[in-house]
Amino acid sequence: MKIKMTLIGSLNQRLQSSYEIIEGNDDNFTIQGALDELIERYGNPLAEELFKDGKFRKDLSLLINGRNILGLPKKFQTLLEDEDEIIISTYIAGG
Amino acid sequence: MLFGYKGKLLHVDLSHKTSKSLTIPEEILNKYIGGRGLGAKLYWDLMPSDVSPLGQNNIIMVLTGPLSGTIAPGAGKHLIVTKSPASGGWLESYSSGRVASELKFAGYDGLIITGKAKYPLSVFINDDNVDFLDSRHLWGKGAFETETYIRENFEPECGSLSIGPAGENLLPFACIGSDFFRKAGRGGAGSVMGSKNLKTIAIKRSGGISCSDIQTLNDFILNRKKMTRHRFMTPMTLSITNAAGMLPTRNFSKGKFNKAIGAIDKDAVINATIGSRACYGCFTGCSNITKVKDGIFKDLILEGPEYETLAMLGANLEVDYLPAIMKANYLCDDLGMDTISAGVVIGFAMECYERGLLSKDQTGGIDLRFGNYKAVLELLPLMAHKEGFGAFCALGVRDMAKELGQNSEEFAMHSKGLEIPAYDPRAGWGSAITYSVTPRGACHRRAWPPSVEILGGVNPFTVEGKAPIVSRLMNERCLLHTLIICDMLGPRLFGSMDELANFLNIVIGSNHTGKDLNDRTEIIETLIRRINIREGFSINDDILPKRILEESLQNGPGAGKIIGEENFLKMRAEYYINRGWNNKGIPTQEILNKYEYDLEPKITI
Repeated sequence: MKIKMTLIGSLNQRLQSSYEIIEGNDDNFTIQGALDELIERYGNPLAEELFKDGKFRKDLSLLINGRNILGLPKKFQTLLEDEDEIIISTYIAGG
Repeated sequence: MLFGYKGKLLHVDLSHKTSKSLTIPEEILNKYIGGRGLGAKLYWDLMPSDVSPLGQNNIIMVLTGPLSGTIAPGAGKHLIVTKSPASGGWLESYSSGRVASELKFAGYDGLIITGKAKYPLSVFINDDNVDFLDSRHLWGKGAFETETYIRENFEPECGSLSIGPAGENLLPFACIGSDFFRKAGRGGAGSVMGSKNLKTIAIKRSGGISCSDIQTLNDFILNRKKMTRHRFMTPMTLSITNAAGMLPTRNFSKGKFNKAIGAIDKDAVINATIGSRACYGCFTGCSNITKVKDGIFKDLILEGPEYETLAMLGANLEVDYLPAIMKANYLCDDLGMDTISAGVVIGFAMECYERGLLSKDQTGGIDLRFGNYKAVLELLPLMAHKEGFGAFCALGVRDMAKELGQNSEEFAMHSKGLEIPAYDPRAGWGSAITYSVTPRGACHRRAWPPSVEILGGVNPFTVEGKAPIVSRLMNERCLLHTLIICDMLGPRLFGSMDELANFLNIVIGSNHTGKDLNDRTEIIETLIRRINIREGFSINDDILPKRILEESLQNGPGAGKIIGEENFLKMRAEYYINRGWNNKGIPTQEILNKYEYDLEPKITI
């Protein structure tokens, strides 16, 4: 399956393009798995932007198909489907 | 007198071309602080009853906060308070530039303008000198040419407020411009100036302002230097709202605009960006300067477009060509029109056209199909000048629907006559409360529920608990707007009201706590509610269009979900109770006694 991951704000400076396509190999591919794959691709600099003390940073928002992960029952263990879209954003103020 | 205040207002009477200084009682400054709070008190005390928004007895105020003019980050903003041509009630409209600091340096916490000039003029304030200059030669000119003239003939670095043709022609969504591209956009304040034959206000100063503890303030700023790399570019918001199904598309009939991706989103704006700009005294240059690099609008340069403009003149009209949105933005800024309302008005007209409620004869030959950006660019100047079909659009969406009939009011997207901004409440129900109860009409700045419903873990599609959340968010914004701190940067700088209180104490030498500032926000919200009740508003005005309450979105997380009138009424009722109002939204005698309005000194002019 192919998952589109977009990083918004200063996070985007860590990527080589405006979004990444992450491929999952099995039916048990989770949001955590997609994050792990992204970090493996970009290494510690990105990991430090996304995690603090082993936990996803509280000042970031992660949306899966437009829903905040905090509102989902399985959170980072939510199973992904082909063409799902993950957005990780720093603080935005609206406008 | 505490640091940060001058303790004086300047009253300018346009009818008699006179001016005088008024003292603000310290007791009032202590209770209402400044900005929005002071504006509420002044409106309550000074605004005559039964005033027409465009009549000469309307009052227009330009107000500062206790931090204006200092090096406090995010304090480079001013507030306009008047009676709204859009709603007929309370209007507060914020913008940025040098106005607040120059006004403070000139020796005033605010400006109160009454009367009507006999012919178009400008008011130049140079410390204690107030000049009234014939400006008939500027009448009809765009806001950019007007402001250029002021800077070349008065003072290059003055604070200035100008209107364009839309304000002269009294559109309900005419705005007041400052620093060229900054606008007090919503609610028609530009038309209040236009109705008074007031083309421009310019302020130049020789004074200054002191802080209580400049060293601690300096340290505060230096310790947050790394925040300068966090530019709160509002175009980023489009990616979020589009994903969340919250992006108004096709006159709010949809919540996602797939063509926006890469075409009118943050990536497209970044590609067009040639620089950035900060507000006066702020360390985050979050505004983009953009340039069209090729095509028919090649070499067009402007500040923007911001999220609301991308959404309402882009997605809402199904326009996916960024240079056209930039051109529309530029036109609105020069003509002096609010881009949000302009986008909602045109979106409504487009839907009417596609439904067959408006013919091509009626539109003067303009092909108003969604996506036709050329029609948008042709229509905007016609609206500002009330020419041809533009005269109908210049009514604003509420009155367009009244005139057109045929059930078009069901998709006329406004509340209290103010067009709905770019967060569809059907993708986050908290905004249904916000848009219906905020005093100036549908407003996204008095509270921003997407911060918790989309960016946080609060379920967007529930009723329970939404009213207390919205009340809390409104109080936080009320405090920022009373202090006049940017509500984009403010939440990032200050994690709580206690932190805000500490910061205020550093600057002005006060002894505030988070709790007492929160208490003041409740007092201010209820006073503004009383203002609107006095202006004739009732529970029947705290409503939303049928499209929002009874139609579902077609795509996104909100697809198939309907808010419903019952849920809406429940959330609204709970909001009233939270405020200490009765079930009709009227402040109770108990809450009036608690807030001691009758014991305050009355301000008079």
